[in-house]
Amino acid sequence: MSLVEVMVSLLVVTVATYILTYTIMASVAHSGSKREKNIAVEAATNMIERLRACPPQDVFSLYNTVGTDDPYGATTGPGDTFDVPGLEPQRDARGNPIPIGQILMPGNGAVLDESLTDAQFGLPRDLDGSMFIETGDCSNRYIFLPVIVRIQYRGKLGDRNVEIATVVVDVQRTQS
Amino acid sequence: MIIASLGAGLVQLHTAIDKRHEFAIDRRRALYLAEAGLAEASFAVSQGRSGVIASALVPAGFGRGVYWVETDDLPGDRLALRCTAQVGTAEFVVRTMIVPNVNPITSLGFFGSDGVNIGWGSVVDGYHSASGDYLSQVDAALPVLSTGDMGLLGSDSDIVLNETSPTDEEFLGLDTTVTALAGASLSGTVTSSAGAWATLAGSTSGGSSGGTGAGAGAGTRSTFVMSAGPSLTAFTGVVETTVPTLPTHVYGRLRPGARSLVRSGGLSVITGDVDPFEAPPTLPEISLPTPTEYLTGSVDITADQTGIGVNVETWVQGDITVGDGATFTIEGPSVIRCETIQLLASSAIEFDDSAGPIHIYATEGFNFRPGSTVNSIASEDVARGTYIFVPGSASESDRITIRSSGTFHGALYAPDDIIRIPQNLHWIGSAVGRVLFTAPGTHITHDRRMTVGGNGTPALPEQASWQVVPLGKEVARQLPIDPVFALALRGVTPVPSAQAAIETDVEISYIDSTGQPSTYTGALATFPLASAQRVVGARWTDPRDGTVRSWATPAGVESTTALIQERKRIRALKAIILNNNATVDVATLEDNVAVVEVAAIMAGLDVSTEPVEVQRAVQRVDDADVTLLPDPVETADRATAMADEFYAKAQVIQTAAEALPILGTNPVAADPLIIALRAAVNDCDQAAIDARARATTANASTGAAQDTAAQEAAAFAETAMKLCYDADNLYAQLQAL
Repeated sequence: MSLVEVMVSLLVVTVATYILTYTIMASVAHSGSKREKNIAVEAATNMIERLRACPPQDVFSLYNTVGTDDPYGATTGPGDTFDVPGLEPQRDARGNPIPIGQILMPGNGAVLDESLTDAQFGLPRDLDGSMFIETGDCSNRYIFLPVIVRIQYRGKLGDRNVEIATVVVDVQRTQS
Repeated sequence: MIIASLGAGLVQLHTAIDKRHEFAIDRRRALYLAEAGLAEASFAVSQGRSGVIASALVPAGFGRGVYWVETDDLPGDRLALRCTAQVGTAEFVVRTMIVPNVNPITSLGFFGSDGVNIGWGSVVDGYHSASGDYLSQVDAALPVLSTGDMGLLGSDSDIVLNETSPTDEEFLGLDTTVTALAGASLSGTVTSSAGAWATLAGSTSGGSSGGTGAGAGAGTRSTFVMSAGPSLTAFTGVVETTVPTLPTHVYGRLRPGARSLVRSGGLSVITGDVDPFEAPPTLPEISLPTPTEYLTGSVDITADQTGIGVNVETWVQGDITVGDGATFTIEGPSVIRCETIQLLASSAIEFDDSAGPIHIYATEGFNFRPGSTVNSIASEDVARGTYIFVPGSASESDRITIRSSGTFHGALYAPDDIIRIPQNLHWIGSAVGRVLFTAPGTHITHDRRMTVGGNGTPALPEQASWQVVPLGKEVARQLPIDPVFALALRGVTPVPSAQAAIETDVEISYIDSTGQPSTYTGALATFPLASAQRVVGARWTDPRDGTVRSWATPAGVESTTALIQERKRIRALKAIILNNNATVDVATLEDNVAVVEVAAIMAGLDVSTEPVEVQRAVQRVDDADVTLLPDPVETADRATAMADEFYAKAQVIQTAAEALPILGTNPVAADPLIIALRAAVNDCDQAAIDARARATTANASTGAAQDTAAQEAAAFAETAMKLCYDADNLYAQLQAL
């Protein structure tokens, strides 16, 4: 075996080892990322289950951006954001942390108007069960509420978002 | 080579793990999308649609995924919804069973929150009017006239099948014909010209002969031997007439309260099951309509008349009185709000709800007197629903008196009142009150069609079960390609979720801007919403086979106020809990738990200054222990209050009667009546005095003496009530002159 052959072999081994090492390291980093994503998905599903456990008619006022309309007394509701332990918050342009968990509902946070256009929630659409789309606030009479729970966090591989969409509807379980 | 292989293997492994991870996340997304699909389908059902949403070929889009919902009709008015959702790499299928638009009132059947007492020889059964009218479903093989189908009796307290004292009380006025079978016993009060009063008791013998009772000294009680006959004149009081020979037959389900019983002496025949409530059912608040058309003062109907007012919705700011010989017909759609409805003897009220539902709000109750008739004239299978509401808190007195005969098909909802259903009125549908009594030999039939479907009254579906449908060995299926991308390759654009229900054409029954009933047929999108005051009902055309579905009142069209009031009630309770302990998670607290919690917090406190919602909640928990046999002192005190109240009413009646011009213009005819009326009022006064005396005794004694005094007080109070009614009858006769 000539020196050249030895050198080439070493080079191949080095490159291969580098690739292998990089792959292993990436895999480790990715495992961390997956763990973060799992936490985010768990947090989102937990929140959805919590929304479902609440009286459907109270969900909007409990989880909107306004505290004055909270159903059990002003500012007694949890609001539209929540923390997720185990995840780092993203930062805005000024470096301030952005809430990790967000509950998105149609409307501007204070008013639920089924006549507004909001494609991500399928609006305009009937929310109060009247069959028709009417203007004005229907937050005190809706029976159908599209909800998106968004988790946005700063992970090992950069800023990440997880979103789960569902609907809260006022269909009660049969009373026994 | 080895290292390269290791690297390649590692990359492959990593990719596989990554895919599984993505699949696990997409699976959850698909699950929640499937639930959203079921919610969309349930929402459609609440509007009277089939619940079918989109299709596998052209699915609905929502939240970066697609879904479609299929339905199956199941026995017992149930509906199975199956939603297939696809998001990213996962497909998930969820199935649920719902009961469409369960009416919270009529689904209770015959219900008394503080007790149900079924008179001897009654028949309790059920049927489904969609299958035809009641008589067409009668099973001739049964020992009684009945379908043998399942009815429903319920209570927060005991359900008593009364077998000990078969009586059939009939309130009699002057010139009333009474027929008593041989062996029937008689009891009652006699009004004499001297103003004396007495309790009459005796028995018929050998089939009868006529007779009258005579008064004893004022304030005393005497026993009369009375020879009964086909006609008794100058008699007011109680006669025990036809005693049913067969025992009570209950075909159906009996649902007493959680800590209560079905009480029976063992003679009644029960075909069905006993299934106590786990928690008291929530009785919804009644929200009163405020029609724009209103009639000031009371309305007297003296001749046959159909409807009242010009518009569909009318507010009579007084009483509606249907005079002797007159028939008042109410045709749906109709909403009538008034203080009371009075049916005088030989008057009639007819309900025709074939063209739309009838909603009557009688804020002070109603009085259907003996000899009056009540009939529902619409064919039962197409009836849109007749609902009578008596809202508000009842005083000690009865606000609901039903002494009519006929057949009523509909629902009565009076959550604070005592409902007594008489023998000769076949009650088909539902009746919900504080206490429900039926006279001996009464026939009550629960119509299950009125409980589901939202016909006539808005209601929401109820979810009975939920399950994940396995796809092979897994709960979810892995998709080779993103479904949205796959659809795009086929040139298919998912339908927006809100527009994905398959029904588009609808017939809408509504009240137009002038207050008149109107109908629209066509696409929902072109309905002239601006010209509609209120939607009464809708029925959709199923595009799969062109059939027209049943009428339904969409859940959101008119229940707004009631819904908001109900929410306010629960919110007020939870605010109290939160104020008491800030760490309690009130948002997820169940309503019934909240009621108990608040009752515990408020125990021993004066709740009279609390909001009505709180008072009612506390009262509701207190009522759980209330039986049909309350404390003797309480019984006596309530009797005193009741007797005083009836005496006060009798005085008002006398004052009004004394002012009638007929006393001066036709004294020959009027004098006997006014004399009898004055005597009745005097006797009523004496009954109130005696009730008060017995209450004093009850308060001062114990044991058997106390019980006896309380029972006597209650009997005197009842006498006062009857005398008050007698005075009212006499007043009506004077008016008729």
